[in-house]
Amino acid sequence: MIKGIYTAAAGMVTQMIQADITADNLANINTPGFKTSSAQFQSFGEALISRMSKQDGVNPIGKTSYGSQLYGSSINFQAGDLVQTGNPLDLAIHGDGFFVVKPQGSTENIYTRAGNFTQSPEGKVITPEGAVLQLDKGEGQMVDAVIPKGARQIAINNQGELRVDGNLLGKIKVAQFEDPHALKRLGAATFSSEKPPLAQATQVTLEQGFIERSNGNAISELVNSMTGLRAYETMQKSISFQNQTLEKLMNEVGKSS
Amino acid sequence: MLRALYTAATGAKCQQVNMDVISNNVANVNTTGFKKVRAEFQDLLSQTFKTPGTIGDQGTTLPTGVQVGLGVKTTATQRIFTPGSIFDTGNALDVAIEGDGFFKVQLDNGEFGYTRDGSFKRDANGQLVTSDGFVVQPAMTIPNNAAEISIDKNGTVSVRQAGSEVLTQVGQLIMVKFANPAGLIAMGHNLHRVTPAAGDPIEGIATQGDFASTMVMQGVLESSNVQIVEELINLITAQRAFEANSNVMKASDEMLQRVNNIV
Repeated sequence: MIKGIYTAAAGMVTQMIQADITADNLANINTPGFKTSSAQFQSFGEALISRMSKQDGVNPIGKTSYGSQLYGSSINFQAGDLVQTGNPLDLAIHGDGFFVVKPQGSTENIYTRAGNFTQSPEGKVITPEGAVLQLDKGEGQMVDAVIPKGARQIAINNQGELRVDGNLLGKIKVAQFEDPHALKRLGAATFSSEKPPLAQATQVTLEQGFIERSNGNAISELVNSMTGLRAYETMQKSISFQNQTLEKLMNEVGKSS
Repeated sequence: MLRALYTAATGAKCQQVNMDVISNNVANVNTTGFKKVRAEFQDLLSQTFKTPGTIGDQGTTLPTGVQVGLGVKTTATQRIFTPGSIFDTGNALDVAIEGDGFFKVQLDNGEFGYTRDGSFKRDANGQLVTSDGFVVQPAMTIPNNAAEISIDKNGTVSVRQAGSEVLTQVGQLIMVKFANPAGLIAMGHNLHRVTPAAGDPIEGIATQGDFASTMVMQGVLESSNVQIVEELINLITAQRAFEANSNVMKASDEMLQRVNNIV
């Protein structure tokens, strides 16, 4: 009985975690480049139940589990919708891959799908957090993308070539990974990777003036919320019933009068 | 939990896709050469509890089984290649194709794109290009002092210089068609690219051979083939279907709530 209460409580905890993840996905439904995550649950390891009897001693009669736990959360890398903004520094990747950006004061590159870049006072092409967009210089060398002062026209074609007033500055690096699920989420739309990106990337097109929206679907998240709420309610009822049974046990069983 | 909740969610998501396709059609009602798209749906697999045709408890063959479907998925967005209506512009470099076929243009990465949008222009060197600056194939240059540019139904582009009576040919527009034009992939910019599903491009000249029923017309453009009335009706059905699916979701949720409140 008390075992049952703990099992139901473990279930409620996992539903709360699911609710947190759903809320995070919904809160970021308008964040450019956001990738939703989904929680994965598994049941606890099984425990042996034994029966004690006078003749045969302790006999195992079967196994039970003690509830569910969070196993991990995986990131959903499906592409979000592309929306036209018309800003010359807004970029979207049409296909697999990430922009490579280098955070301020760091030597490690991080990766993002969010293409809402702006210019720093020095002319560097930066993300809202200040990480600088990297251009491909060939043979794995990368360099910061810097727009010279007084530039009138910034053009980025489908192959990612960045041209300022007609002069080619470089090609925007698009990183692809063998296993995108090994990426770790850093911020709302940025990821870090332990393995370097693939040397040979498949062809993708870059669209200037477009931004990739979050890949969250309100309907899916709503369904997760609804089922989460009902599961939570059911387990709360289960705890309530077990509590009532315990109360009967304490107060009525064995009462002599 | 209740299968109905998840099934209704698939229905609602498919109607969202339907709305996206309809809104794209309506947004492009005035786009030259645009071909409307129709979203097509398929039912998802069904969970079988009892297979029809198996032997039942009584030793007889069951006439029907028990199967519960799991929802719907979007299976295709079919591009419909009916002709759009032709409207007069009076521009010498505006052309439209009557019949099957596409114009061929060369993209900036060397590949070829195909389009029905014939609103061509001249670039700084006099070459015939599209609105994006992609060179129309075969590359042809219109000289600067052209008093008259004539494009006949074969796609032959001829120029009459100022002060002369003679029309000299500068090029002939290539026509391309495909076994399955719906298999082309849309790139935006009114362009399509070939894929293995479309088949090999079949090139030719208008009014000849494979293109015997195709004509090139000068001074006109082909508008989109989107019918606003049809799209509005599709919009109504999509909206009502979405509403119905969301009602099913609400009902499933209420049933779950009742289960929890039985005591």
